[in-house]
Amino acid sequence: MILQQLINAIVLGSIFALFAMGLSLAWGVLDVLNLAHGALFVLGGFAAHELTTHWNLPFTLLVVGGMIGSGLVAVLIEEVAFRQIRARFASQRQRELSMLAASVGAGSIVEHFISKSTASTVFAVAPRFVIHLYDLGPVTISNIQLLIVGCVVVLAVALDQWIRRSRQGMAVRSIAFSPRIPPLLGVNVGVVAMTTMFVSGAFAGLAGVLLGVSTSGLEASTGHSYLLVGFSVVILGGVGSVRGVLAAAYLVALAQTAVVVYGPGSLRDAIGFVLIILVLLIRPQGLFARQQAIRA
Amino acid sequence: MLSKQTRLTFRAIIALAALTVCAASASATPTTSAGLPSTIKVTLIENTTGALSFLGLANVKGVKLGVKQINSSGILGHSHIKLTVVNANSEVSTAATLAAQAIATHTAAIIGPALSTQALAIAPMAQRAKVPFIATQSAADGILEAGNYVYRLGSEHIFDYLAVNHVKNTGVKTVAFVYDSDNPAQAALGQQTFPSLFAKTGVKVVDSESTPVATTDFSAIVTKLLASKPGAIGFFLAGAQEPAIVTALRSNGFKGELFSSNAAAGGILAPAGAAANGVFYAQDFTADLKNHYTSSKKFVAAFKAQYKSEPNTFSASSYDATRFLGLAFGKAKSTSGPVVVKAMKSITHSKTPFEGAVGPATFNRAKNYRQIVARGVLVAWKSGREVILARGK
Repeated sequence: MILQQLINAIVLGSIFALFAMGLSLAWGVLDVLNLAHGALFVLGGFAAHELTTHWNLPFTLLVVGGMIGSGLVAVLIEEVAFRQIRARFASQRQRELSMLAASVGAGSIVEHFISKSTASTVFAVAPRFVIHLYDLGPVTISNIQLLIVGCVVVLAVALDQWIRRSRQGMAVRSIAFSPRIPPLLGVNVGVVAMTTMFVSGAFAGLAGVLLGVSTSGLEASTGHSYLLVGFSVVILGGVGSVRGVLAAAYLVALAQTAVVVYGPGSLRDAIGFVLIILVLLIRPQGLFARQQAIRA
Repeated sequence: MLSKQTRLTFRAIIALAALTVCAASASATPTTSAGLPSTIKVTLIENTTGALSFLGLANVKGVKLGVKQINSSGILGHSHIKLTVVNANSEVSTAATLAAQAIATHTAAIIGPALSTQALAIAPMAQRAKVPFIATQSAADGILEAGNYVYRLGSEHIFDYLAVNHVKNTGVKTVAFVYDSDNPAQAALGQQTFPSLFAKTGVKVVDSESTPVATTDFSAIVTKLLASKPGAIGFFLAGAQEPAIVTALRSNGFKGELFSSNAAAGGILAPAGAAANGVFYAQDFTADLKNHYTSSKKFVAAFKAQYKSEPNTFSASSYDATRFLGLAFGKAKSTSGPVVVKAMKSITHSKTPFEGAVGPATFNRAKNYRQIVARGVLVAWKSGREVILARGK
């Protein structure tokens, strides 16, 4: 059973990682604490649901459709709300608070739209996807679980390499370091911000589609609980650190699974917050982020 | 000749009397000759958004149909019920605030909400304000105990024995449970109701797992449950958790019996597709009761005419709650709380069964006749609809 629970924890951690990578990207690069991320997560699943209901598309296209749908809405939120706030407020504190409030509003609108469109009930994301179970001796794993883990491995490596080695990645890192300098060097901050938000939203949408398939359905409010976990993962791993987010996601998933195995399952959600408190006491910047000193 | 001061005093008294009469006239709603106001304000507090909105929306349909029929039936004379539907967004604090507002604006009665934690917050408020409060599906202990102004016209899980008997009849020897730890009604099912029912049948409970209501991934719990090798698994969860656990269990190879509480009702299992075929649960009502009870047949026909779809158990119990309230107003010929409650008591103490959407029903003496006792029905989910397996007596 322990080996099987380890597999379960890895799959759960992969979902957390997919969700949190997008959140960390927006937060680390654009200083956007995007509380609409949970709604974008469900929106990906909803987009796939609509595509399969109306056009009966193959599964791959449903995934792509879900990612694009959430990515585009994230860009819309960036253009309509976040960019305007950045232009309007010189004070960082005012900007952050305003963007936080704007993201709450944006998330509510998206959630309300999904709720109305689905008559507030549970909707199947890809009902024609057949889950197969593979017997690997002491453990079993399903095709959807393999897909989830595979996606995280590929995308985490791709995102890490993109940020570290590509020109766009350098632009992203330069904006994260100091938003004022990149325009002086010819970086189009607006385009980079849109790209970053698209990638952030696409990750959320992908997580929503894959979770929706593995659990057979989502509802409009499913994103709330993942938002809490996502923030705990980002804080634990360090804002803006892909490797940190990965490590923290699996750590939280392992902790939650251990609580289910050894203790009352009712405490599984609390364990993430206990970990945050413990880590912040020892390493406030998170497990992987570098410590920063801000001159007064 | 009166002094100037005396004349001024008289004028002040006359003005004050005139103002008092005007104020009294303004606050008093025009009454019909029967003593009922022409407009009877009733507030439905339900969750039309949030995690339990599928249940809330079904309740709204049932109540609206009930109000429409009462207003056209003539039992209120020339009075009519004006229904105000307010959304508690599946939040306890919002429900409590809405209840306070309804009471402050002189609602004659409150119906709903379906979530037990919300009903637990509202019941004592209604009791203190002497406003009749009719709960529907909120089944937790403590709601009726708030006092004699609180009634419940929904299942109290009194026919879960139908599910237990069915498990026993399949020959299964062991059973395991998983339930929501932070939902009082579901927690009670997993911790008390079903364990005690199974104890009487000789079916052994081999595992019992609790989980927060926000859980969507059940893989760890399923692995643990399957390790205890149960012949049947009961799950008492909420919303999207219901199809999720079914999918998780079936995709991990569990082939035994699956059963739930009425939280599986209302088509919530549909997203699980074929994996949900055969899941059974007991509840107040299913549409096929139309073939067994005249009152159910009338309700189903009226619901289909209004909404072009078949009703579920939630709409049925909220419809009955509304009809019960309408009958009470008609009997009381008043919207005064104490008078209405007296009328409610006479209805529930009557030897004639209450003919509701759920069929012929009585009221539980052990709960001071404030809890409806329907006969109940055990259904199985098969290919997208509920099929009757057994009916309660």
